[in-house]
Amino acid sequence: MSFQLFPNWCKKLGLVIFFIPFLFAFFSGFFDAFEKNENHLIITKFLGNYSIQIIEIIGLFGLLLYMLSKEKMEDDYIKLLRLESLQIAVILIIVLSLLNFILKFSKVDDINFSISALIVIYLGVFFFKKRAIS
Amino acid sequence: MKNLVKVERARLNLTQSELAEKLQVSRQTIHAIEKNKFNPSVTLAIKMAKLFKLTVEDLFTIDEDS
Repeated sequence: MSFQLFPNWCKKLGLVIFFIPFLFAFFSGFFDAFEKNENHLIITKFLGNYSIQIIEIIGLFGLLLYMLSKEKMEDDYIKLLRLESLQIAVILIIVLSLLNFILKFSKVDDINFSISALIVIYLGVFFFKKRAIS
Repeated sequence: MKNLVKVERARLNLTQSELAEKLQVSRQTIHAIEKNKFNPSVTLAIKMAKLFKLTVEDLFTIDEDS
């Protein structure tokens, strides 16, 4: 069973959607600094009070779309690489969450951070595994 | 498991990409099989054997040491 639901071109779409929040953050930071505004009013002007959450969700959606898109050639070996990458990502996230719980090295412990980290680690490991065999 | 994929591919004068295209798999898969990092599925093994005009047993042999 494959979880890759979307065609290959959705990878590019996912990347574009993922980088939209970065552009927002960059330009809002620039304009907020320019106007000496520390409350990020430029973003809230467009998206209201939940602007940060909306931007985070858009970024996550882009990552998820990228993750669930097929490779150009999807076969058993690619599926195996995906499985191994997901295993490593899940184990790393559990270990990091436990360490964070015990040592409190980061104040960020919201679910958005965990989901983003899981997807980013998965994509990173998958990329390097695929690259290593090339 | 040992295999003769690299030898047979060279015999037919095919690149990894060309073989991958013929078998409708990725080039990484062919590379991984040749390096013994991945054992192909039964379907892919049969497809390869047919392409190289060999039996699956001739193409893939179990390494007694491992």
